[in-house]
Amino acid sequence: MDSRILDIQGLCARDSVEELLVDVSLHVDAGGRTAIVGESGCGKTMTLRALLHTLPPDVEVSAGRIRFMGEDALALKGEALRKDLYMRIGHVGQNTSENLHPLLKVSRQLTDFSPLGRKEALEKATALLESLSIKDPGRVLSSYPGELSGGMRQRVNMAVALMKDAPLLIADEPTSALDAHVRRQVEELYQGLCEREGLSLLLISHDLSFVRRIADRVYVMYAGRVVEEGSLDEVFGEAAHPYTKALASLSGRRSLDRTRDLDEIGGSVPDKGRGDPSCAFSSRCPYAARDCHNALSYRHLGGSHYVRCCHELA
Amino acid sequence: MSLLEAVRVGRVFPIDGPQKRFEALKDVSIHLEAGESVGVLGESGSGKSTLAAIFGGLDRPTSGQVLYKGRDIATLKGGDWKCFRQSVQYIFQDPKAAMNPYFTLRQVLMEPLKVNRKELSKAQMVELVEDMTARVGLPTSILSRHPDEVSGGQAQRIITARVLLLEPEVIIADECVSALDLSIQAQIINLLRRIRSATGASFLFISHDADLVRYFCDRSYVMLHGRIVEELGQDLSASAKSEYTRMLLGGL
Ligand SMILES: Nc1ncnc2c1ncn2[C@@H]1O[C@H](COP(=O)(O)OP(=O)(O)OP(=O)(O)O)[C@@H](O)[C@H]1O
Ligand SMILES: [Mg+2]
Repeated sequence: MDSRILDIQGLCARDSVEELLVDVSLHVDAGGRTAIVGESGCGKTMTLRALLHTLPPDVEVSAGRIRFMGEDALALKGEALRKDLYMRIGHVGQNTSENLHPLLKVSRQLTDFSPLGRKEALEKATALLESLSIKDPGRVLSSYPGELSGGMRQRVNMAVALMKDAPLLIADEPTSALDAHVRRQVEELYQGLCEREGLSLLLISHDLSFVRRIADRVYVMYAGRVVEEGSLDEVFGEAAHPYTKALASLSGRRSLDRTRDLDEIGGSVPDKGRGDPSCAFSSRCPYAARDCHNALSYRHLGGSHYVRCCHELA
Repeated sequence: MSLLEAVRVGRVFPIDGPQKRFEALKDVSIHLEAGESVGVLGESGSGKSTLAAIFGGLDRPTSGQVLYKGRDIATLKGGDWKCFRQSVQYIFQDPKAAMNPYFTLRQVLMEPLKVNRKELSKAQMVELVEDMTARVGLPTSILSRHPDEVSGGQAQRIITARVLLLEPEVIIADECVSALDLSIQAQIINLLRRIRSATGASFLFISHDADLVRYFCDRSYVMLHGRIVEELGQDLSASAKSEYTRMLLGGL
């Protein structure tokens, strides 16, 4: 039996102009909770879209393989795609208005594909919405998505994904529209499902405190590549990549000083093409040196901790 | 006279279900002065976005009025309405919904300049667009892409650039950075602060991130169930009286 429910190896994707993902490898253990973090546009969502067969029309997977529950996920087609992939993955997409049908009531979107009878499905949907801190599930169920607030739509989206009881839940920025209080509820719900029902989780989030409380394994992506990976403690406790360090120090900011600008990671991702084997972060990196312009290798630091950086920072 | 003011605004939506109607806003009065940045806090579904849409003239109240420099915006016509629409700009929660999917990002940014800044030459517009693209932290090469070819965070920065290009008097920002990672959040907020000190623009700043509201705003309103339940000074927590507000602020 496979100990990994999802295993992505050497995934590359490109559109007509440039490479978008370069040699992305990552996995989710059965019952595990993996998180991907990294700057907007670094390829987190693109990686998921490759798995879910929802890449934009001009983007193609040019190398690599994806195994999901023992199947070659990239090769699935037609009925097998539905049965072996879509029915087994709950997906909370980043853009709630894209993922909910605008002309169908929430109740139908939650119950239509459920194997349960209509009445039980509605009861389950109601309970899920309540566990997500929705106070008037009755009204929400009889609404159209456009009649709900941003935070309510985000939670309906989460409930749709959880209705299937799928073994893997993929959540792309599931809490970005929610306040701290509701985010706590979501954390508890996810933790409970992972612990009690053995759910496996692949989480994308820019909220590092959320990631810290939920994930057990973390991948840091930058400009289309994985630049660091390891257990939660390895990556956040002993961050080895300057980019990971910068991310972690930003999320430590909580008392914001009005007399100063907010801290940012200066500069932006260079335009040199993601296939370039040198370090894409070097133009923004406080440790940058000549070696950074050579081809980099992925270094093993011990345990399950790897980094794509030539400096010994520890 | 305030720059922009909502006077006893109500918004009732007709809905399916036994109630038939849903009161999303009840008797809401708020005001925004020139050069002021005002926050709106409140739990999800409390009516923040509904209020923002009415305040910015994108939706009409079912009762009450919105006054722009003392005039009811429902009565503005022709040039006056155009002037209001240009002066009051909106940064949405969902950036892609605000862009034409068939446009390149360059067109997304050029379009409002062509309509509102007719005095500029094509070359000047291109220069402004490219300069603003860099200021929101994006490479100009991204401008040849379409909205569905960029990430959510990149789309949000394009929308921010589009709004800033119009040099509005009032910017209504509805969760404008909540979908972005902290570094890009900081980039955008720093940019908004620079624009604010350079142009004196006023902000209605909606966010569930109380720390950010405290950082960005001069004072704030707190909403619950479609009403304003409290007004807070700049330091938020020190002036918060109700249990509900303390929960909103202390959730972190
Ligand atoms: N078109 C509509 N028809 C019916 N009800 C609506 C409509 N638009 C909004 N509502 C309801 O009005 C209430 C307030 O929504 P609003 O979007 O203003 O909330 P919000 O405070 O912005 O919340 P969030 O923090 O989640 O964005 C919600 O209960 C919502 O369901
Ligand atoms: Mg809202």
